Amino acid sequence: MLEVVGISKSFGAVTAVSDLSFVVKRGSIFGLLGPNGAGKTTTIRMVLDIIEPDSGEVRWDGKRVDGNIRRTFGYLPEERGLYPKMKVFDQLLFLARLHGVSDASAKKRIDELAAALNLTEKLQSVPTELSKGNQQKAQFIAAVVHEPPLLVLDEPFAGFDPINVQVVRGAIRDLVARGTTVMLSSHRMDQVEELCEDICIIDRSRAVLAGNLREIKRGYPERTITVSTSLNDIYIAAVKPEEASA
Amino acid sequence: MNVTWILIRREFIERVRQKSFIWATALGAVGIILLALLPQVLSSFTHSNATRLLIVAPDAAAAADTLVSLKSTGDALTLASMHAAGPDLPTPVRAQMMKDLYDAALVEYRDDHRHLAYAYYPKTSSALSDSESIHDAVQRAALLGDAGQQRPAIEKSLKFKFEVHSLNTRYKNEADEIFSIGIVYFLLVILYIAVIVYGMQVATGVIEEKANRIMEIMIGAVRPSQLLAGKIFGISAVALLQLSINAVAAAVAAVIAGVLYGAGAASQYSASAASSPQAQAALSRIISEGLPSVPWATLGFLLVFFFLGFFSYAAIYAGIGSLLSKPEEVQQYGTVFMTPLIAAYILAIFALQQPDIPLVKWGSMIPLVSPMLMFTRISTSSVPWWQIVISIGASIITIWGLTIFAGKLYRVGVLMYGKPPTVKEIWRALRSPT
Repeated sequence: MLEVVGISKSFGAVTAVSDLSFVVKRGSIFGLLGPNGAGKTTTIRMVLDIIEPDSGEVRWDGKRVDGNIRRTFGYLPEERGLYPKMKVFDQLLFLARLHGVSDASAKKRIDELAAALNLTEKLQSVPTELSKGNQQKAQFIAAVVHEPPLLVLDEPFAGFDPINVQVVRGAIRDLVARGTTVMLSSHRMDQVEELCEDICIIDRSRAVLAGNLREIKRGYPERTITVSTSLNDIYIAAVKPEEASA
Repeated sequence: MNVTWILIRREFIERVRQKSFIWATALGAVGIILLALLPQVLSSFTHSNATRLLIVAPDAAAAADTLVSLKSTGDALTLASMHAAGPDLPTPVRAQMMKDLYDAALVEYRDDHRHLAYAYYPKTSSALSDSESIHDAVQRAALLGDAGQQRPAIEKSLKFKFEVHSLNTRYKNEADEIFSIGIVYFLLVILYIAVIVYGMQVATGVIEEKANRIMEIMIGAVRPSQLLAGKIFGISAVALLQLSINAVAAAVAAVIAGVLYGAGAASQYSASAASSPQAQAALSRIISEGLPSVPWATLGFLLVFFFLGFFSYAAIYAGIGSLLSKPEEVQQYGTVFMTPLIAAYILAIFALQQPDIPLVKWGSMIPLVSPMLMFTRISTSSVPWWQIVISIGASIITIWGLTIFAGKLYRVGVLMYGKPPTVKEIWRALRSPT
């Protein structure tokens, strides 16, 4: 279980995250939502111990997240990046090694994941030869190659076409079925609605709405008789429009 | 597997695999071989190195003495049978020189007091610069020519013994000294080039990793100082490989030069050497004392100080790269940090003459300048062992400290895309743990 307990972070005069708390249950998918600049990426970086919170703490299974625990986590950053001239397979193996995975199990895992994501034929190519979607898939494999107990995905669907969104969604579900806990941030409300059990919406550095998605939806009035309230409507109601565009 | 080792290995393998590396290294090696052979090739186009010297003597006896004396100069000597009456160049000789048959003419004559005198007429520039050695060489002939009855006694005196017994604690002979100074220059030049070329690669490598965002994934799995250590030592390994290949190319060039031109050059040298008593003595001295033995300790120190010097500057470049976001900016900041290297270079050349003055002595224990200075001292004088230990220890601590420092800067630089960090942010990062 991931516990985020009252974390705050300021950069100079700017408050990026203010007294934020939430819990991600083991084996669930958690959605961190909010407009651009709300503090999502800063929150993710604090969860991953890349930056230290000014106050509050992040715990994994009751223990404060440090370098050793962090090393087991998987992370797909919003800013995707691979070595442009290094073969995809070699980079994945390299990243697996950095996470302490043995070569044999890393190779097996890369093959499995590549097969699931239709990337097997591209493993011996270099990223500059791949389409953007395939680069993203390679990046996704890089994030999960060491079988992380917690997987943090920052905008996992950005840049994918509808078919590949389905493929990646399937891959995320497979991981959860095998016991991985997932925390993701996205602007794609339809995807969040389909995947996430719990959500937290942050706006201007503070949580404005948090909890079980189904319960939250139940609390909002239905818009019509036939169509239930979508998360999109809830999101727009929670985040003031003029701020969302900022 | 150790994380830093994984990073070093990736850095090395990926760089060495690049086509650009393979081509640059291959062309570099070929270039070295061609450059090394160039002087030899050029000289083979000209007729001969030896100056063609025509001698005009007043009589047979004087001519014989002059010929013997001039043999040490290695010139191609021709004796003209003219009997010179004065310092003027005889008209037929002048005509021959105009036809480019000779490079210089030496007119030997007796002056008003019947003393031997010489007039030298060089035509080529190399013959002109030989004037002094011709003057030295004919002294013996001049002395004997005027000796008269004293001649046998003077001849005997001229065969005096001259031995060099070096009291210098460092050098047994001149060859030793040349070797020591040569190896210092070798380190200075190689270190300078390596810092400029490969130090820059460390900085741009760090910037590229930030630019293509791969470090977003890695910074979670590894500490920034490990990431930078991987860069520094990985690129050092690449530098060592490339420099070794260049060294092999230089050795190949030496062998080729030896096969193609060596036999001729050696026979020419031994012929002229054998004819000169001084050269003969020098040869026999070198043979009896042995060629300068390869000082393995010095070569070991060469490697040690090369790496200490390179790692120190590479760590600085890693720090520069951590704070910058564009490779173009490296040049500006890099120049600032080159200052200690340039200062060390100048001091080291100064230290070749004065290895024991306080400035050099203390400088050789101060990191960043110490690798060049301490190696210069070790190669040219006797250095107390504790000073060597301090020098090496201080450099290792500095490299370690600079890498940690650069790692902290990296953490600041990574999270501040686009905008350069303020001094306050850097200061805060330096005080933070990790």
